[in-house]
Amino acid sequence: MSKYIMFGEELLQWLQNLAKESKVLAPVKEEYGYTFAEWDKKSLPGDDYRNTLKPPKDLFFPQHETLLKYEKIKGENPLVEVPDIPEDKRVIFGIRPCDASSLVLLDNIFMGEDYVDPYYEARRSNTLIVSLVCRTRGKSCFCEDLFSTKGSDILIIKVDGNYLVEILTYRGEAAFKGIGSKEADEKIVKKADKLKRTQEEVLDKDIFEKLRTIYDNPIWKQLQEKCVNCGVCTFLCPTCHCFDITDDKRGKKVRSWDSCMFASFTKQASGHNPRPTGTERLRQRIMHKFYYFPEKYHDIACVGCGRCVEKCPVNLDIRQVIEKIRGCLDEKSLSAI
Amino acid sequence: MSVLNDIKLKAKELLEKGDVDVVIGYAKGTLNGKCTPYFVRNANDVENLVWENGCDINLANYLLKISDKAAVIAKGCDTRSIVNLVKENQLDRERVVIIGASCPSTESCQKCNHPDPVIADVFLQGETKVNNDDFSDLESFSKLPSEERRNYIYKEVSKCIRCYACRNVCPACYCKECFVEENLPAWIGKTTNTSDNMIFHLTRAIHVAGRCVGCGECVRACPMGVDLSILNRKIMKDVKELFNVESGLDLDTKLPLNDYKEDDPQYFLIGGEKCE
Amino acid sequence: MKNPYQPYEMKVEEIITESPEKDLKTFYLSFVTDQDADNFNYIPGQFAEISILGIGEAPFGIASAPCEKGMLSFSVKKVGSLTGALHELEKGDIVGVRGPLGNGWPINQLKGKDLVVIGGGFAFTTLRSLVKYIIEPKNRQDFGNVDIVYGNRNPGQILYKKELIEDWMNRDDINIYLTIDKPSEGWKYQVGFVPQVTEKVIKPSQNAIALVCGPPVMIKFTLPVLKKLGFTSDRIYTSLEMKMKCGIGMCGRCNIGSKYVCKDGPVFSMAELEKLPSEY
Repeated sequence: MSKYIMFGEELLQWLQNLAKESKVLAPVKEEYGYTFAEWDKKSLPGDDYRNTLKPPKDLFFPQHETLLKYEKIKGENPLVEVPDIPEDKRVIFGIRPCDASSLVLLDNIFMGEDYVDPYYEARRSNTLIVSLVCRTRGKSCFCEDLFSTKGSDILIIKVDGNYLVEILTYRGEAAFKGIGSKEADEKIVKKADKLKRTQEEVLDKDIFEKLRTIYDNPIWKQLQEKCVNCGVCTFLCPTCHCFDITDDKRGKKVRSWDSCMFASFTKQASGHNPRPTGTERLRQRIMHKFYYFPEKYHDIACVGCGRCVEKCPVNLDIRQVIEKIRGCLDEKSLSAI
Repeated sequence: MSVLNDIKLKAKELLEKGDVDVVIGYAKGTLNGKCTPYFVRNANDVENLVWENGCDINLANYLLKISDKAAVIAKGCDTRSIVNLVKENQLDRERVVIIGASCPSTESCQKCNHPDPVIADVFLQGETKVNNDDFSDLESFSKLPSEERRNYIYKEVSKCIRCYACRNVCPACYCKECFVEENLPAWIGKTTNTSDNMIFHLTRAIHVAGRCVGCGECVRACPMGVDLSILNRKIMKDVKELFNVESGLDLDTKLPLNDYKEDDPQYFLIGGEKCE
Repeated sequence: MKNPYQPYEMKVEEIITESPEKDLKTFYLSFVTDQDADNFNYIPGQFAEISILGIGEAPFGIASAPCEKGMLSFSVKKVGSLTGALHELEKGDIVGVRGPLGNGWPINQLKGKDLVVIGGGFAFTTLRSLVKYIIEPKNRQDFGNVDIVYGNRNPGQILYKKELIEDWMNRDDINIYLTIDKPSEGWKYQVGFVPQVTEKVIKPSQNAIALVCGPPVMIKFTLPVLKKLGFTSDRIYTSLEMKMKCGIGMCGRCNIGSKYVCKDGPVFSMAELEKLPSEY
C-alpha cells in the first residue's frame, strides 16, 4: 500500500480533520502517566511519551462492562435488557506498534470461529488504529520489531522531524485519502528502512519446545518464590483477557477483568482448586502465553510491551523467567503434554 | 566492615551450619533503583545479596509463604511486621532467625520513625537515622476544607484497577480469603467504580488498623500511583493517641484492637462518647 | 449471530427433591416462548449456564434429552451461592438459561457400539440424558447393547428413582445395575462400590465404549477395572467439572493445557486427557 510524507503541522491538521467525524483518542498525560483519552485537538504526545500506563485492551474490552441490565418486578417476569452495541466511530492515535499487535491476538479470543463477543467486535470494527513507532526501546521493553505493522491501519514513523505515513489497510487508505499529502520520496523511505534494519537484537521469546517438556519441573516453584500473586502483570498485559461475570445488586450483569494469578480464579464452589498455589498459577500464566496460546493460535501471547516488568511490585521480570526457562534442564519432565 | 559484608557472613554461616534452609534478603533488580526479593538456599549465593537504597519491599510477607526454617534480613518495618505476625499467631518466632539491620533506604518513608529493627537475633548496626516522629503531614491535611480532603481520597481511589497488589504485598493482609473474594454474601462489586473501589480501600484501611506499621509497601506496589497512606497514618495516629500504642514495637504489648479493656475509649462506636 | 451472553428465559414447572437430605433437587424448566424452544438444539452431554438475576450464573449439565421437547431439566446440589438460590426457587419462577454449551457425548462415535454407562452420585445427570436419547425408539437401533452401572452411598441418593426403577429396570433393551455402598434394609439390587460392581457385571470387550461420570475417587478406581476389561483409553469417555463463567472459551479459567473444558469439553476421552496436564 501507499506511503506518504507529512511535514510538521500536517499531522495535526489531519488529526483535526479526523476528529470532525470520529472520536479521536490519544495518549494524554495525567499525573501518574499517559492514558488514552479524548484528544485535546491541539497537542501531540511529548518526547517523554513511552507508552500508556494501561494497555489499550481497555478501549475494546473495558475493565468492567455491563452485559445485561435487568429489573425484578414482584409477581411478574423480570425485565431483561441487552445494552446497545457501541456504534461511535473512533480513531486511536499514538498507540505503540506492540500494543496494536496485541489487538490481533485478542481478536482470536473475542472474535473466534464459534463465538463472537458483540461489544468487542463492534468496537474493533468502529476503530481506526493509527500507531506511532517508538524511537528506541524503553528499559523494560522487549518487542521483536519496533516497526511492526500488525494490527495497525496506519503506521507513522518520525524521520528527521517529519512523518513517514505507511498505509496498511483499506480502512487506513480511506482515512487518509484526499488530504493532499505528498507521496513519500525515496530518501525518507530509505532512511526508515535503514532504521528498521538496524534495530538491536532483543530477547527471543520462543520457548515453546522447552515448555513442552518442563510441565512438572521444579523450576516453577523456584520462579514463583517472590511472586505475591497480585494482578498487576495480568491487568497491565495487553493480551491477558481473563474475566469474571457477576451480578451486582443494582440490576446489572457485569463482566470485569479477572486474573489467573488470583487464588479465587479457579476455586470451585466445593472448595477444590486445580491451581491451589502460586506455583500452578505462575506456570499457567507463562504456559498460556508461550505454549497454550501458540498451540491454539500460532502466535505468542506476549508483545514485549514491558508493562509487567515495569510495574511488578517485586520485580519478577518476565524476561528473566523466559531466560531461566530456556536454560533449565528438562531431566525431571513429563513429556505427556 | 560494611553492613552488607556482615549480612553475607551471617547468612553464609546460618546456611552452612544448617541452622536455616533459606535466607530471605534482596538482590539487585532489573530496573534502576529497585532491588528484588532473593531467596538464598546455597551458601555460595550469598554473594548476590545487596543492602542498599531500593531494598524496600517488606520481606515479612514471605515468611508466611514458605514453611522452611528461614532467616530474614530485616529492617525496622519488616521486624515490626514480624512482631505483629507472631502476636497474631501467624508465625512461629522459633522458626525465624532475624538478621536485623538499619534501613538502607535513603529516600522513601520520610515519616519513618523506626528505621532500626525492633527485634533481632543478630543485630548488625547500620547507620541509624534520626527519628522523625511527627504527624505534621496529617495536621496540614486535616486543615484542608472537607471538600478538598474528600476530593483527594476520591481521586486516589478512582485510579485503582483492583489488582490487589497493595493487599498482597501487605504483611498485615494475611487473610486466607479476603472479603473481596467472598460470595456468600458478596460484600463488594467487581467493578472499578469509585463506590466499589472505596469499599475495598476503606475496609482494608480499617482492617489493618492498629496492625499497620506504616512500611509504605502498599503505595510502592501500586502500579497506578494510588497513595492512601494518609488514611493509614491517620488511623495510626488515632491508635497511638487513644490506646498509647505504636504497632509492632515489642512482643509483649497486645495489639490494641485485638484486645478489650473496660476503659477502652469507644467514642467511635454507635452510642459511644462523642468525639470532639 | 446471537449475543452469547443473553440467556433464554425459562419458567420453573416442577421441582423434585431427590435426596432425604434435601440438598439435591431436579428442576424442570419450560421455555417461555416456542421460538426459544426451537432455537435451543442440544445433544446429550452438553451443559447450560443457569442464572438468577442478582445472584449470578453457574454451569450445569443438561439432564433432559432432546426428545423431551419444550423443556430442560437440571439436577442441582446445593453447594454455593447460586445453587443455594436455586434451591429457594418455587414453581412459576423465572430463571435465565444460556446454552447449549460444550461438545456433548460423542454420539457419532457411539453409534453401532455396545455401551457401558457408569455413573456415581449426582453426576448421573448427562448420562441420564444420553440413555434417554438412546432408548428413544427412533434412535435405539443405532446403538448396540447398553449396560448401566449407577452407584450411590445409599438408596436415598439415587437420582430419578421413579424413572430408573419403574421404567428402565423393566426394559429389555437396556441392563441397569443399581448399587449402594453398604447393605440397606429392603434394597434388592447390587451392593458394593461402582468399580467392584462394574468388574462383576460388565463383560470384557474389545470394542465397547464406556462413559463414566462420578466423583474423582470413583473414576480413579473404575479406570483400572475398565482397562482390565479390555477398554482402551480411546474408548473411555468422561465429562469434567471445572469452574466456568463464560462457557464460550473466552474468560480463561477452565483450561487444562490448551483445551477449554467449556468449549472443547466437557466430554473428553481418557486418551485425550492423558495428553493434557493433570490440572483439574
